Amino acid sequence: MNRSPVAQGRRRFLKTVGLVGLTSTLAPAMQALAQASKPPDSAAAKPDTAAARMGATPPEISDDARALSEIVKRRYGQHLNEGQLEAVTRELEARIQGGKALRDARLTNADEPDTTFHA
Amino acid sequence: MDTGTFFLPVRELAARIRSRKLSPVALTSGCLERLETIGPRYNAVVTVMRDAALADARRAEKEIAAGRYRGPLHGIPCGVKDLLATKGAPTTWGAAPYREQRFDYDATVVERLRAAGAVLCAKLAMVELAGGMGYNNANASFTGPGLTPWGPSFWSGGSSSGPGAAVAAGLVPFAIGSETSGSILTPSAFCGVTGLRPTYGLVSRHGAMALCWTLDKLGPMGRSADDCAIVLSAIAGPDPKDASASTLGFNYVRRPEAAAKPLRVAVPKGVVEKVQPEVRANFERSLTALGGTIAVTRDVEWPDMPWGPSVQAIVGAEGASAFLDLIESGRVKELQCPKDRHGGYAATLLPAVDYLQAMRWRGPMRRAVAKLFASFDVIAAPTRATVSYPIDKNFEDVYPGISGGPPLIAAGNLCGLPALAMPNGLGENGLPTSIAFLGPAFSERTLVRLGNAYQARSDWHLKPPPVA
Repeated sequence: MNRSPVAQGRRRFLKTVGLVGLTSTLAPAMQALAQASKPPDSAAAKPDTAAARMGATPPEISDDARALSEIVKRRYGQHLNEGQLEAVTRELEARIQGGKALRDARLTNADEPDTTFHA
Repeated sequence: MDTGTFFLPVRELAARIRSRKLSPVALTSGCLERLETIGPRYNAVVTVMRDAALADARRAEKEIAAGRYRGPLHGIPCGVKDLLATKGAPTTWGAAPYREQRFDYDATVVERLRAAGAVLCAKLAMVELAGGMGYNNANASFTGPGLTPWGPSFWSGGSSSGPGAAVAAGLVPFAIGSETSGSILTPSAFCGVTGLRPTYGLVSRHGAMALCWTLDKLGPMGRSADDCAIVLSAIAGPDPKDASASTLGFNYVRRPEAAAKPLRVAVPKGVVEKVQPEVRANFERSLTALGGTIAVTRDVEWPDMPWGPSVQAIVGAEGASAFLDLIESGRVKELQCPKDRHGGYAATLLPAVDYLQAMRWRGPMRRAVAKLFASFDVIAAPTRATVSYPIDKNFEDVYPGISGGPPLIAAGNLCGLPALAMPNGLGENGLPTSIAFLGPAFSERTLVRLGNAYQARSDWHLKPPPVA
């Protein structure tokens, strides 16, 4: 399967956000039997974020993430301060990127969700 | 009682109890005292069940004296992670909003431990909500950061932090932990104990806090693979109260090692290249120690699939659903770890399609891993790429540049596979390192056989940490 450089970069970022635990894992995935099948080389420490240190450039926050963040603000804004909302926005971006990886074309119509409904 | 007694394997304790050389009441009293005095040093304990435990120990002693011996757990003290419903004690899920929560029934696992004659001494600490809100540092429980007895400024690992620390410090001979994605294996590694994550469905989840209905598993943490197997055989088996429970049980009899065909062990490509040097060296020594019992193939390609995004989508969606009331009410602000106070909100907007995509990936993932297991009996790797983390840093700020390669923890959990983690040496700062074996579904016997073989050739599992 051909993958564009953008898609490859996105995959690398995704694997890295798995490493640094931007999204939920239960035991921290970082530096473990971790999330990168091809671990990126370590990089310079600037900008000083974990993603940068692991060799991936954090993406811009997309308009989609900003839009979803507005929904979070509307629904739950009373529970969140500005810093927390910004963190939620970054998490939304990571989840959007994760969703893109899950839409990989290798799944076929015959691949059912791994849950079975019983009547 | 001699301190060494508290570090004996269950099998040895059981032999002494059965032959009435060791009193369950005396052993339980000693464990209770250690839980009360040493437990707080490691933030390992939520509730000590002193009165109930002593009553159970007295009953066990009477039964054994009367010749009614129930088996190797009879009269053995234990603890359970504080996400298992337990009559007569709070069940806090490690989280401040639930610190007064009580259930009027026992989780199936607790029922089965009691039926086997085990003496439940304590509810043990855990990362709040088993880490479901995305914690990123050790201080993520209302009982404080779990500490490994091997170095009190280092984390015990999570989310089964109390079970790991309590077994390592000789507070209880064994404990029950839970794993959704790494929560038995990690504290086992960081605390230098043996942990067995069973196949999904082998142990009933009834009465356990639900984080992810399709990923949660309960399993033993103990001194040795043999001990874990003894405990697993008591808690495994069908349960009408848990629709995901398997029809299979787990019967275990330890047999002397016999000449057999070497087990085919795969070491996936990338699992040792970027781990800490001591982790790599201890891993290689462990494989060497197993000698002719295994035939090792290295650099095995691991299937390239969206392991990380899948586990994140599933944990995100199921976890947000399981704790929607807590998130929407804003009571997550009562959680200890700052990240946990906002970590659930993004997950509430996770599209159903993303969750279903992740669930659809699980079929191809299981088939890809099953294909590997057609050629290999077991997959081996360091359990963690590093030793434990210092508690004063966020996880993303420690050990830069270290990587464990293929995501075996995520993969093993997504595919519902069993894994066994065992201590195999010391690394940086004198902290434990660990080796893990991953097997196909319901291959616990093979994993335990391999574990027994390794632990017959090493003594890392018997080394106590420098506790008083």
